[in-house]
Amino acid sequence: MAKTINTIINNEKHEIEVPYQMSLLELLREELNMTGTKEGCGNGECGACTVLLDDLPVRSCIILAHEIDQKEVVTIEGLKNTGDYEKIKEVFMAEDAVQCGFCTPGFVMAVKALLNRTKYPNDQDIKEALGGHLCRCTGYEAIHKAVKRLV
Amino acid sequence: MVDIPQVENRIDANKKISGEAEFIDDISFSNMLHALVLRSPHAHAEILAIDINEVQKLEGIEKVITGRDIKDEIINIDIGDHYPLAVDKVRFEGEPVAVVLAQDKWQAKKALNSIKVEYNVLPHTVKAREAIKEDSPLIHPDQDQYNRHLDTNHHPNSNIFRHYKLRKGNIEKAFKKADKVIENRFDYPQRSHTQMETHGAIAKWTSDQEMIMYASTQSPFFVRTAIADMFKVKATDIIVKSGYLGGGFGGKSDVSIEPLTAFAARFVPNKYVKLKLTREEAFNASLIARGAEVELKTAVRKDGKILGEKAKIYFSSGAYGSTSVHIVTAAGHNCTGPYEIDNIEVDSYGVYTNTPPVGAFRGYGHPEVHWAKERQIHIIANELGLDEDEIRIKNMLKPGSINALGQKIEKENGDLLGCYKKIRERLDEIEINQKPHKVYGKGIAAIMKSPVMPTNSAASATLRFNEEGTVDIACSGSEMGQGTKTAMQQIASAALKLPLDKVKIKEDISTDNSPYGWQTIGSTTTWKAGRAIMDAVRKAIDKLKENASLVLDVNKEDLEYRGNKIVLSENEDLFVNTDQICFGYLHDNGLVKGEPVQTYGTYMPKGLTYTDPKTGQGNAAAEWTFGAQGVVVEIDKETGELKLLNMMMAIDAGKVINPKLARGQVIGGMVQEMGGALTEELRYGKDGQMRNNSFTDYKIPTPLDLYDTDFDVYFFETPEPIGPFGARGIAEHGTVGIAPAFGNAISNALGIELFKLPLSNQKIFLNMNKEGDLYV
Amino acid sequence: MFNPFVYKRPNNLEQVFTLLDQNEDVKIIAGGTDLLVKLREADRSPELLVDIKDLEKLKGIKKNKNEIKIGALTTITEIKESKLIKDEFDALYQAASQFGCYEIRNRATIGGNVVHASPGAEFGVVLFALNAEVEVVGKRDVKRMPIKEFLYDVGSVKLNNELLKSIIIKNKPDLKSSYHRISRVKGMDLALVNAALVKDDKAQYTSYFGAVARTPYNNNKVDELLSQSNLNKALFVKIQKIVDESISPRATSLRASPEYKKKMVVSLLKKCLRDIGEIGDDIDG
Repeated sequence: MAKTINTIINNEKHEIEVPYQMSLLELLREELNMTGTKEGCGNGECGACTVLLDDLPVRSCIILAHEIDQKEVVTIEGLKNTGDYEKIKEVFMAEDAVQCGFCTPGFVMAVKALLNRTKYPNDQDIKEALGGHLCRCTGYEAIHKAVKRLV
Repeated sequence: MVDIPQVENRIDANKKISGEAEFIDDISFSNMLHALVLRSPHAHAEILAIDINEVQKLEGIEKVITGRDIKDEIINIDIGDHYPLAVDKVRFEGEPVAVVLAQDKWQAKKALNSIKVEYNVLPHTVKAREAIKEDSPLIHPDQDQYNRHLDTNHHPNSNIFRHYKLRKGNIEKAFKKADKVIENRFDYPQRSHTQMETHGAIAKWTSDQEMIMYASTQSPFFVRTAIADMFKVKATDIIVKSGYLGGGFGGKSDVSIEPLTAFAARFVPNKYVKLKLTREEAFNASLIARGAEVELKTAVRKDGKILGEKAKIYFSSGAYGSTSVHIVTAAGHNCTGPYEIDNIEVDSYGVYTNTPPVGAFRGYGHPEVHWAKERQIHIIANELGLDEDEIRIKNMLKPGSINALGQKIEKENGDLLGCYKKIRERLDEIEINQKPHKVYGKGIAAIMKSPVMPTNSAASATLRFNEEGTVDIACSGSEMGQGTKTAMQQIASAALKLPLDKVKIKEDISTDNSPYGWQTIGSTTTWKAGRAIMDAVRKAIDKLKENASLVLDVNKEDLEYRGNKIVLSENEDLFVNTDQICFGYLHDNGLVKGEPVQTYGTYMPKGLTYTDPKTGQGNAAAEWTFGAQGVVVEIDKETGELKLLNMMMAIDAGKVINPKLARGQVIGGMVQEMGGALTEELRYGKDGQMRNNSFTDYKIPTPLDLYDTDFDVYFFETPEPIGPFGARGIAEHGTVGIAPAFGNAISNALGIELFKLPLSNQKIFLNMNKEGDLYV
Repeated sequence: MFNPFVYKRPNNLEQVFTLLDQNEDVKIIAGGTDLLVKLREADRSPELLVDIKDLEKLKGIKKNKNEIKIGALTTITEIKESKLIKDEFDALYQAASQFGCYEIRNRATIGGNVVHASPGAEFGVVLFALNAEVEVVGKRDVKRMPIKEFLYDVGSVKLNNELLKSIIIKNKPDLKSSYHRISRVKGMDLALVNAALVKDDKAQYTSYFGAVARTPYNNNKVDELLSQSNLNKALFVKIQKIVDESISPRATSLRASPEYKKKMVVSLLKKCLRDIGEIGDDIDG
């Protein structure tokens, strides 16, 4: 069964009918073709599907599309052309914090949320922001170095 | 030495950071069907009946496929022991039993839940050591009849499908002469690759019996061959395309889900069928990794000289054998470590077990046996009362040594001693800031690695000059995060003497028009595809000179290629610009001289042979890489919790093409192996079902485990003659010695010897202050 | 992929109770971080999910005279970032800090954590040790009961077409508390064993341990010994003996063996005591 929801995604209003059992991640990827948000586990355990929901980073695989009715979502596609995104991109490139790139949009969203909270994150802030994200390629060193450049 | 031009960023960085990079699950087609797979709940069972009648009638269900639909489509790689869907029997929990195809995935799921299968559960075994016992259930009772592409020396009426023997010298004499014989058993359990992207494939058959497939594979050409063989069609009728992979690490090499996807799609011609694994399926229904028990019996003289070594290696290879034949071989001839030992007897067994099949995993055949060998050296040192460095250095392979395979080690194989000394020096200089309730340990391991692969595992490249003087290059090698395409751009730019922005590398692969490449495994792409590019460049320069000779009206041999121009060697004032002639030279009157410059390049490893069936020796390794690794750990005495303070590696890379990417590969490999060393282990219940097929209970390293870790990576550069500009592969080597480095560090910290991975908090704690053989 | 269900998000309690009355096969969803993971793995879903996130009455952290009331829908992030909680209940703050990961903490609620009643739940041991009470709201009334009564078995709480409304903790001056856990990795993980220790203004200790029994585990003898003895090595040997004899954690756990868990009870107890300054670094090992 489906019902219409009203939501703002990346500054754009959407009125869309979706099945109740559809996850936010499925809505983004399968209905709206926003494939920058990735599914790594479907269980909220890896962080690849991280998006901002009313400014807070959340795991879109364990949120229902209907839960974002009347709420606002920002995905990796919505970060482009923002100043923070350019900064994040610059430091990720400078440290080569990207290998296979599958977890990367999730990490970028986490860092964006971190910058929303504080302009000058300390070690504790960075640990909190990244702690729940998994990357199997980099060993994290380059990611940590990249984010520390923002300090 | 040539200066390799340095890129600012890897070529795919922007696309990956922005989320634009397309992975397999980001591709879909309008009339695409979702394939959902019903999987065996049993580790070993006969399928008595499958009832799909009702299910097939459900709304929206296009097709339900079972093993009954298989005629003779067999996955026949090294051993023809495997069908894309279980036929009559399931051999591991997670094995595909039926496939449902539907446009609506929820409909497919509903149908899947309603399929009834009747099983007769059989006794099972998940450990090689159990599976080799005489009364163990036979997983493939008719393996004698299987078609084999190479002689795997299987044992009839047993679960042993591969037996690799290595014999050098006289082992019994060595034991007689020894002052001490030290015997230990080491266990490296099965683990999972856990690429962040799970496996996926999309396939469509046309009515002309051609198949097009998009797949997350490291081995598009290999998949093509396997599928063509399975359907008895021409390879040219199978087109396999692959783009970015969300991690591979060997788990997307050979074949995994591609044959099943192709098989299912055949029943619905002209429709795309997508199979994308869930995380749980990636754990228990794709390739898994490692799973070796290693027994080492070492004859030593009291001065630390190793006189001989006897090894038995048992791989719990899973339900099907093809993907681990080479692993068994590699482990066999690497288990003596980077040491010269005159008397060797190795028996390495691939054993069928009721688990998902074991396949290649970063460094395959090496971390398993280095875990044993480098721990063994440490234990020998303790038992003889000698310094472990002294034993290693005394026995180390050096120029002139003969390795286990009978190959002579040359200076050009790399500076093992230098690497080892560098790591010891760095470990020594680290001062530890001691905290209460903690103990500290430093551990070291020496490593060697060679790729083990078919003797004809070729690579190739194509090169095309465009009108404007830019160059398009395509080459073998899948991009899965290792940065191969970036390195290839740098190699091509260096070889062509052209700036980086004039050289474009094609990132994706399509088997119908991309240059052939066997598989992207074994850390071989930098040197093999790199050499193929060098070959293409050599031919292109020759053609450019030919064009220039027509324009300048001189002999081709008198010309010199300088990148942007071709000059007359004797008189530099006489030249023509490359961009003027790369597409043929156009005179003012329209007359054209010369031809467009488009070339191809190939590379085939030279002189490789099969190993001798009796001695196991032969030229099986095309190159060697040596190095050393170290860790510094802090252990909480109250809990056994281990914190990694330092991790380091020195490796003889031959020539570093891109320092930033190379460091990333080494560190990434080390941290991946830290998972296997400390936390990762696939666990099975008494019914043979995998108990930890999710990140909830399969724990891989997290950012917080590494946030305070200091890394050191040292590159030595002893040029490798067969590598482009002297480069060797380095992408896997970070994994090889990490587990024993941890084991040795724990030994140094606590005085306990652990033999079985992973070295969990619990294991460390429960073994503290105990003595003796603690095989827990 | 979730199997189909119907989803409703009422904005007042009456509607919730009506839905609960009218439907047999119904589940309450708040943050969803536990429930949706379970549904994803299940062969079927309940017919109806009732989302209670819009119920304002179940939100917020308030201080009333000598007690602090935490609405069931309070997210773990809100708990972690509450100055009130950080000032008064270290153990709650520490548990919130180690719970899941940041993204999960932004969704998960303390009510959900309590109601799911997992043996190693972060908040189980803490709220038991703090002797918390819960408010349960039904169609007719609001009941108040000790959490120890409310949460009575693995995955079982006393709710009968009712909702957990809030959690109430008495705040006493000079109360000290601490929380510690053992995990396999430092990032997102579950506790293999966890512990909460409270020392009240009368120097009485209360200790609870998670993932060693079906519900948070306490042994009076341990608390008495702590309250009445010198905290020295010999005492911990004694406590270890009591623990060894009185608990038998599940032997089939994937995460840790009974033997290890028993030892960790005492190790974590020592870490908690050290945290609140009751023992020094001289007691270890």
